[in-house]
Amino acid sequence: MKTGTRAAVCAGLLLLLVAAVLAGLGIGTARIDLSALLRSGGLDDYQRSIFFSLRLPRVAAALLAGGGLAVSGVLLQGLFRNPLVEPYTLGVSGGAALGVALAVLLPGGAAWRPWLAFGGAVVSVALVLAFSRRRHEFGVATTLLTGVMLSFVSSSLLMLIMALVRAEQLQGIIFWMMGSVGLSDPGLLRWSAPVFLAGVLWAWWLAFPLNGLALGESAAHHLGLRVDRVQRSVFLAASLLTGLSVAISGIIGFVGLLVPHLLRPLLGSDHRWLIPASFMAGAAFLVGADLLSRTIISPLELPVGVITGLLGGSIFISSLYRRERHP
Amino acid sequence: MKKGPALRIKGLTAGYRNRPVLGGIDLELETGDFLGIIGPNGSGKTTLLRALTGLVPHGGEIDWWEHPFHPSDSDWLARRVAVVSAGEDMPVAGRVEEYLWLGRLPHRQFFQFWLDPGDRQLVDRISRQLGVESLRDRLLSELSSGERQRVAIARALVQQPRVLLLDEPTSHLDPGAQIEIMDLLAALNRNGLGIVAVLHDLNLAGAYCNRLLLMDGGTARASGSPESVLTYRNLEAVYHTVVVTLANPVTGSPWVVPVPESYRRSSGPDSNVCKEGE
Repeated sequence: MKTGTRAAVCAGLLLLLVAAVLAGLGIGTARIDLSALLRSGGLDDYQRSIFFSLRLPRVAAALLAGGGLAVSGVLLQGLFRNPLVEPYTLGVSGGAALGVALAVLLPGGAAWRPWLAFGGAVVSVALVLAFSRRRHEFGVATTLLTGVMLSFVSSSLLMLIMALVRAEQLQGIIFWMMGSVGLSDPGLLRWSAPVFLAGVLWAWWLAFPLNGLALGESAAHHLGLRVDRVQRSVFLAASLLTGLSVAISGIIGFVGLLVPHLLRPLLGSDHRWLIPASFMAGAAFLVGADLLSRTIISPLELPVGVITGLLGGSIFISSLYRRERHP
Repeated sequence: MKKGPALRIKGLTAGYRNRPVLGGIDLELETGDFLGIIGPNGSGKTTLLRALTGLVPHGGEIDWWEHPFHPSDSDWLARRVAVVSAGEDMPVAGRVEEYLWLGRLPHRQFFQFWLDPGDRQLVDRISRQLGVESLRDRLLSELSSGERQRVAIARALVQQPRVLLLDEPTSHLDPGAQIEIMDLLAALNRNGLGIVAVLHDLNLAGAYCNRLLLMDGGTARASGSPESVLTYRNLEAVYHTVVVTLANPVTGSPWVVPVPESYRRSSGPDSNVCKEGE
């Protein structure tokens, strides 16, 4: 894999992201001429309000959540040395959603939401790590099963919370369980955007140690890495990105699986390329998927999780079977 | 470089939870040594190697270049000692090229993200020296066992170590590839690289190492020159079998010949082996 090829792939992804963002901003039930935005007075008040209070937050939410989930997926795959784990299959998204549901119960809940989502993500990753650690190496099947069971546990607890809350709070929780980028809180978006970018840069900075970790814990130690520290950083960065993504958009599955899976054949397994490329591709993918979900049966809207779930689930199954045939 | 031994261990104990493996080992390694660690399965050879780099907790003293070693000094040690373990330290995916680059990891500066031209020349030189140049674009999963071992040693050399630790570098290799790897190690040793290798093949150990450590039940049964360690008394006691030690007709180094059971028993008093015609 030559550096030039990789740079070309990354440039292509950047173009794709720009195209997706422009399409996402312009296309919808009301079409907005983006060039008119640049001219003063090019848009009327109605279009202006659609653009700034609906379209822009929506595209920003999809961009951040998609990029964040994809990078989080790469980080978790590096941490567990298993290309099939990602925030959703590991139950990390579920843990974060449980945190969000708890925030609904608390007085002044909205402010707690991102923190509790982060907390839920941290607890979930810590649990999966602890369980798979007991068997020294992270067995592919054990890790995945632990994650799936953890998802069940958190969704049961979520249902318990749903049974306890008032009807008007119920809808807020269901929204997070289905996953949508359409209703995110602009205030949350505004402050979480820089945190997201910091998290992605942090993840990028962990790329070199992550490459070493791919050799296994012993060999990484022999390359001079403080393995426990690297694992802790990776784990916190992945939880941060997943927690924020869930706080913004609810549970959107398989972005973290799908995107790295498609990028690895193009870029190889070097995290220095994979992490920024995954951010761009994940962002472009979710912006595009959201565009599809709100135009395909317009004026009705499909939850974006349906699209990512259908695509991601089928790729997950096919690559699981390919692994079984060529272990 | 510093005088004094590269490695000195005193009263080394190590083991896993509730299961001590090493019970007090003393050893010194001079800079130019080619030390072979031999002994039966479960005698603690690999644990000794793992203790030396801080992978298992240890008691007693480990001094690398007269510097008391602590497991948290892994980055310091990784710039001086490289390890090739028994076959498991390669990622499942990825190409040889990417794998070789990982050897520069211990030398990376805090804010260094890409490798510099000096690193590039070093990797080029070492791949030429080890004859893995043509493999650099290949996938790791496509390599044969012999090629994997060569590539793993190349990655270790990219770390620019002064001492190389190897765990069973010749296992799973055919005799030709075994000799090739041992010749390579001997050449590196002649250029001043200290080598410590866990070996199962006593004849390879006798032919290539200048010092041997024979382990049994977590302690050193014998240590010293191959001639003094590879005696039939030592080997029969440790391996619970019958051997004859001759001299290699070409090199004069010790040559251990196993004696099959039928030949042992047929001359013994309580022979119940099927004889001819029965």
